[in-house]
This record gives sequence, C-alpha cells and structure tokens, in this order.
Amino acid sequence: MSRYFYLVCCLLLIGLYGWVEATGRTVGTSRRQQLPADARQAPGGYRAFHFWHGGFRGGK
Amino acid sequence: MSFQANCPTCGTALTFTVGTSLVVVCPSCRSVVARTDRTVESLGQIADLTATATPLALGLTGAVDGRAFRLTGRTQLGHALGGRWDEWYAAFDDGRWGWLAEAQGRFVLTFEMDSRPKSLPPFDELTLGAVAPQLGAPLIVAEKGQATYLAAEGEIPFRFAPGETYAYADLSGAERRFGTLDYGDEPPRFYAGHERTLTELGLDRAASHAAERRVETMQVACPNCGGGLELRAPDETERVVCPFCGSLLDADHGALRYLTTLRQPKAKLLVPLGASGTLDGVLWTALGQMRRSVEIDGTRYGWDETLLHAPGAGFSWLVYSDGHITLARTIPPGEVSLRGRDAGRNGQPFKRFQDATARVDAVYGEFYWRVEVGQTVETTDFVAPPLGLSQEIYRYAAPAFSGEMKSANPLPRKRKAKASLGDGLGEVQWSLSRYVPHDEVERAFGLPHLPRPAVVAPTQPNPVRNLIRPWLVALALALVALIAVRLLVRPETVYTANIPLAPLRAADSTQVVFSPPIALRGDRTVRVTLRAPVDNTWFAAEGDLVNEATGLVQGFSLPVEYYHGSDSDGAWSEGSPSGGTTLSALPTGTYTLRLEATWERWQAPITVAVRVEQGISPMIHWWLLLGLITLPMLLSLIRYGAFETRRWSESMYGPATSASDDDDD
Repeated sequence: MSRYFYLVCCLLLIGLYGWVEATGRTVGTSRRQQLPADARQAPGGYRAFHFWHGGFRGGK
Repeated sequence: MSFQANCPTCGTALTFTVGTSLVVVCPSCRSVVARTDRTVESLGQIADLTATATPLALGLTGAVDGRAFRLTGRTQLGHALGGRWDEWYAAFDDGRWGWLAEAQGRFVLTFEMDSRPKSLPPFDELTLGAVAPQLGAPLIVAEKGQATYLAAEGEIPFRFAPGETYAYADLSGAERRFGTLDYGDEPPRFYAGHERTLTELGLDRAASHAAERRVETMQVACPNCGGGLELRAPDETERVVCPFCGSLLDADHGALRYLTTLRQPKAKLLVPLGASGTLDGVLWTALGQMRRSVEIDGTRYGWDETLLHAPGAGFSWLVYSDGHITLARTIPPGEVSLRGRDAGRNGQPFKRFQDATARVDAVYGEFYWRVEVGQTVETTDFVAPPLGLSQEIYRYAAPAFSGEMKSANPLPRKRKAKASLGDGLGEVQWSLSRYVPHDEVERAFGLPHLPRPAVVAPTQPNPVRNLIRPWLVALALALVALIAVRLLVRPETVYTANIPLAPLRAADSTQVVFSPPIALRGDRTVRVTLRAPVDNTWFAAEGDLVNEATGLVQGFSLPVEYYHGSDSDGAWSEGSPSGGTTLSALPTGTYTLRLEATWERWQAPITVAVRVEQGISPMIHWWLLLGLITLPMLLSLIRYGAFETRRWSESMYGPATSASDDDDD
C-alpha cells in the first residue's frame, strides 16, 4: 500500500469520524420504530401502548 | 627574477623564469638541469614524455581562490603496478608553488604545508583505510604507493633525478580534501589541498580542449592472433582481453603487448560490449565485464560486473548479482566515515553487511587498470537500501627496489634512507552503488527480458512501504479531530429528575413512568443515564423516547446492578449503581421519556435518578478510528519486517548475528 493511498484513506476515515460526531450518530443504537397510527391518534394513546419489552431479569 | 644558463650537456640556452624553480628540463637533450648557488648541473637525462589525454599544457594560466598561476613544468610518474600519471607544477603570483596531479580525468591541487607537524607518521605506520595520525586533520589513507620519475618537461620547483623512486601515501578527506605524504625526502613532506575541476582552476579553455582531443575509439590488432580489436577508451585502457584468442593484453594508449592467454569460460555478458545506454542521465558505453566471486563458509558465490565508460564522466560499474542489478561509482575515501562497525556518508548511516575476499575469476573486454585473473581484494559491504557502500582494499608487495636512486648522477643534496615499505603497498577504493530496477537497465541498453531474482539483495528496496511516518501524521490528525469535536460538540443536559417508584404488585410486574416533554435537537447524540440505589441487587428499565407528533419511538434498555462482598481472595465488587446508553441523534422535536421499570426487591419503593443529555461523544468512535488507521500500519510493519529478515539472513551482521555476538561479549 502506498503511503499516499494510505494517507488519503486515513483522511477519509478522519473525515467520516468528524461527520459522525457532527451529526450525532453513534454505533449500536437499539431499535427505532414507529408508533402505530391508531395509538398515535388517540390522545395519550402511546402511554397505554405496550411495546415489545419482555422484562429484564438481572442478578447473579 | 629570471636566470639564464646553458645546458651543461648540450649547451642549449635555458631560462629559469621563476625565481624559486630549481630544475629545468632541457628541451634539446632532455637533461634535468638543476641550478646551484653559482652554476647549473645536470642530474641526468630523462625520457621523452608519453602522449596522454591531458588537457593541460605548459604555459597555461589559471586562477584558484583569486590567485593566478601559470603551469611551468610537468613530470610523468610511473606507478608501481604500471601505468603513469601527470603531475603539473603551478607557479602562483604570490610566490607559492602548487602541485597539480592528474589521473583519470581528475585533478588535485595541493600545496606543501609550511607549518608541517613536528613529526609526520612513518610510512609503515600508515594503515590503509584508517585516518593518518599526527596530521591534525581527519585524512584517510587512500593509497600507499611507490612512484618513479619517468619523464619531465619545463621548470620544476624541486630537484629530482631521472628514474628516482620514492614512496608516498595519498590521503582523502571530506569535502574533496586531499593530501600526500611524500617519503622521497627525510623528513617526509606533507602536501594538502583539494580535488578541483578545470573550471574551478580557471582552466575552462583546457576543459574544452579536453573534449576536442579525446580519442573516441581506436582500431588495433591483437599481437597474438591478429584479430581486429576496437578500443573504446584508448586513452585510459590498461588491459584488454582479445575476444578471439583469449589473450590478456597490456595496453598503453593503444599500443598492445601480449601478456598471457586466459583459460576462462565463454562470456555471458549482461550488456554486450560496446553497447550504449543512458543511466542517471549519462550515456554509458560497456567496455568490459568481469566475473568475481567470494568464498563464504566453504561456498563460492559469484557475480558479474560490467565496466561502463562515459567521456567526461569517468567509469561506473553495473553489478549483476543473484539476478539483482546495482550501478556503482567510485567515491573519494574521505567521503566515508567509519562508525564502529558501520559506515556513514553525508550523514546517512550504512549498516555493515558482509566482509569477504573477492577474487577475479574471468575478464572480458577492456579495463582501465591492470586487471588480472586471480587478483584478490578485501571487500566490506555496507547497505542503506537502495544505496550501498563498498570498500575494497587491494594490497600488493613493493616491486624490487633497492632504495637507492637509479640516476647515474646522484643528487648533491642530502637524500636520506627511503621510507620502509613495511607490509607493502596498496590502495583503498570506496564505491557508492544504487539498486537499479531491471526495466531501467533493459530500457537503457535495449536488452531483452533479464532474469528476475529469487532472493533478496542487500540493497534491494523493501517493496513494503513502512507506514509508520504516515501513521504518525494520521494519528496527529485524528487527535486534532478529537480535540475539535470535543470543543465544538459540547454536552448539554436536557432533562434530569429523581423519580420515586412505588412497590410493585408482584415480582414479575412492572411500573411505567413518563417524563414531561423534552426538546431534543436533531444533530446531537442522546445519552440517557439512570442511577438507582442498588446494593447487591438489580434494577432494570426498558425505555422509549417517543415523539408524540410523528410517532417515532426510540427504544433502549437500562439495566443497573451492583454486587460486592468478600471471599478468600479479599473484597470484590461488580457492576455499578448507575448505567446509561447513548443513542444516535433523533429528529429535532419534542419527546417523552417512557420508562417501564422492575427491580429485584419489588416489595420496597425505590427512587431512581434519570438524566438525558445531548452532545455526548462516545470514545468508541475515536478508538474505532484509531484501530482502522493503525491496522494497515501494523500489517505493513509485519510484512516489512519479514522482508528485512530475508535480507539480513544473507548477512554476516544480521540481527541474529548481532544478538549472538552480544551474548558472546
């Protein structure tokens, strides 16, 4: 790999890093969904909507 | 003030035009006429000058460092191994004399040192290739030789006898410095100066004459078989091998003399003799090829060297070894400094690679020195790919010489015993080589495809580019980017609350709480952290950030657990009472934080602290960046090192050798 090519790749990666930081992106963000229309249209409907949570059980 | 006299031998009127000249050579009878206090005397008759390719002539005027001079005299000196060179004597306007030695188109102007050291080193205490002691200057002994006065003309600033032989040592220093220790007198004399070009000597006219007078080629016949030979550098060729009968011939400006018949294999020429090609901007012509070899651990390794010549540029060598090609040129020994076992030139370090004794196995074509099959030199190679430095030390015994003057007319002045020649004569040659890609040589000389190498050469450039320097640059830029991000993207807390949670109804039930609306900007990460008073227990929340206007739901999990205690190994702990998660930026808008919580001690109420921040940059991004720019560098290092291991496995001084040497120490 030529030094020039390597440096160009590094510059692109650094630019990508800057873009990620400037736009607030991050890796590993969990699910993102859309609230169903019927729930959304009901006043306060989202409060009653039960999503996919299965319930965490931690401990040793 | 001029001085008129008649030649004591033939009566020709002679004029000493320079007040300090001591000898005039009579142009009629070749007597060397020396003046004494009152009269003149003949020191003997000397031979006619042999025509050489010198561009200089008596009467030429020049100037160096602002001081004008005139060439008044010249001697031709014979080398102990044969061959001759010209030495000119320059009378300067300020009364000083300069010694202008000429050999192979190079000129060295020296002056006798008035403030000579009290004692100069004896001849046999000089070591070839080492710094000459007691001179007060770092001058390296480049040659220990023996010279004979063969011919002369004009006015000369010292007395000498025709045929007189004396020992000398040539010294070489940095920045073209040059010196000569002349052991013809007792005590010896020390001359010091610099190598100069004709232009630097103000002899441009002579330089242009040199180009005009140069003999291009010469057609001659082999004195053994009569075969027609073409000498391509007749002015400088000393040895020729007849391609028809294999005779080794002595050449003296085109005059050939049979020496012996060589029994050697048919030539496998890298470059056909007579072929021309341009390398490093110089048009070279192949004059000869030599097969040489070294013996290492009982195995003989051979290589070929093609002698290249270019008028005005001198000689170069195209060395073909194990399928690799290097282009080598001799350099003054003074340009090289030895540093321990390694060497350096112009501040560039060269690592020692190999020591051996090289032997000439076969010769083809013409050569500018008296080459012989079986001739050996001590070689030491240093490398700094793609460059290499080679030192060759050639030692030879002094020819039979009684130490007495051979002149029929002994000089009246006191001549002391000649210098002891000690363990013999010799010279040091340094050459600087450059690794040349095959296609460059093929293109230059119009050669067909040359075989490619299978092994790594000492000076072969490592094909793997070492990425450490660009990596350091990239690392610096990445650090700058990190600092810039930290300065430009400042963290901001957009929501914080302590949320009390009532006891759960059952162990598997959950409790849901909602935050008031939270305004989020769309270009910043969102970090939600939760702190719970857990002590050897756990708390967990499933969270959502819900945009009530668009219905977008961003889910996340926030488990918190903290355990601690002690056992036979001592105190321990794991987990933390707080935890958090960082989410990608959400579209700008108002969101509600929904937390659905459960905890192990469900019967008891619990209060948790929740905080929502924006602009928190996870370091994982930077570490990922660092990993991505570092990985190619590490891979390049591994591949680079593997190549160097292959290179140095062929060396006497590889890392493994060094380590064992150190152990031995």
